[in-house]
Amino acid sequence: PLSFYYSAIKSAIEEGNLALVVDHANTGLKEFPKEAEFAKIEIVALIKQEHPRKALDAILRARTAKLFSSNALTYEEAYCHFTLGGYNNAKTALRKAKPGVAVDRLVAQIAYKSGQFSECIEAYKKLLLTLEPESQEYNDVLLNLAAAMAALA
Amino acid sequence: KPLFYDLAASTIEFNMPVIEEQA
Ligand SMILES: [K+]
Repeated sequence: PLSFYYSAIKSAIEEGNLALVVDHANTGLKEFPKEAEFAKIEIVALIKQEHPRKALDAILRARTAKLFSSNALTYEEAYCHFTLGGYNNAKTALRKAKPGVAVDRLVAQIAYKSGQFSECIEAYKKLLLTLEPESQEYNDVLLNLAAAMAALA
Repeated sequence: KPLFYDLAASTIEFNMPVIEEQA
């Protein structure tokens, strides 16, 4: 049954065995081809294993199988393009993603990696206004802001 | 080269559906 696969996936996640997570999600999807959650789990595990090309393939397969709408998984898609250095593809994918802090962070990283430091600095300054001062995330963003300012100097 | 962290990665997380526990 479905719950068998979810239990196996849960154990594999707890063990930190991402390859096994992919295996279980993939097998589960073969048995239950309409279970979109299995596709999502496989995609997340592939990204965490630093297999962005395979993750992109899995995203396309899931969309072709109509498991997701065209604007679902756009953040994941953008992140894969980002790690592969496909910054324009990443930006295009992000336009369809749900706006929010996560998208803003990735936009700033794309700007940094593509050498657009002024744009990156502006993005991080805007992001800081939305974050709780002294929080972990605020301090993390400050660090990336400092990196962008140093890169521009 | 200045330190720069991939903060976007933390958004990619497993979001497991709640499943019935088997007895
Ligand atoms: K960032």
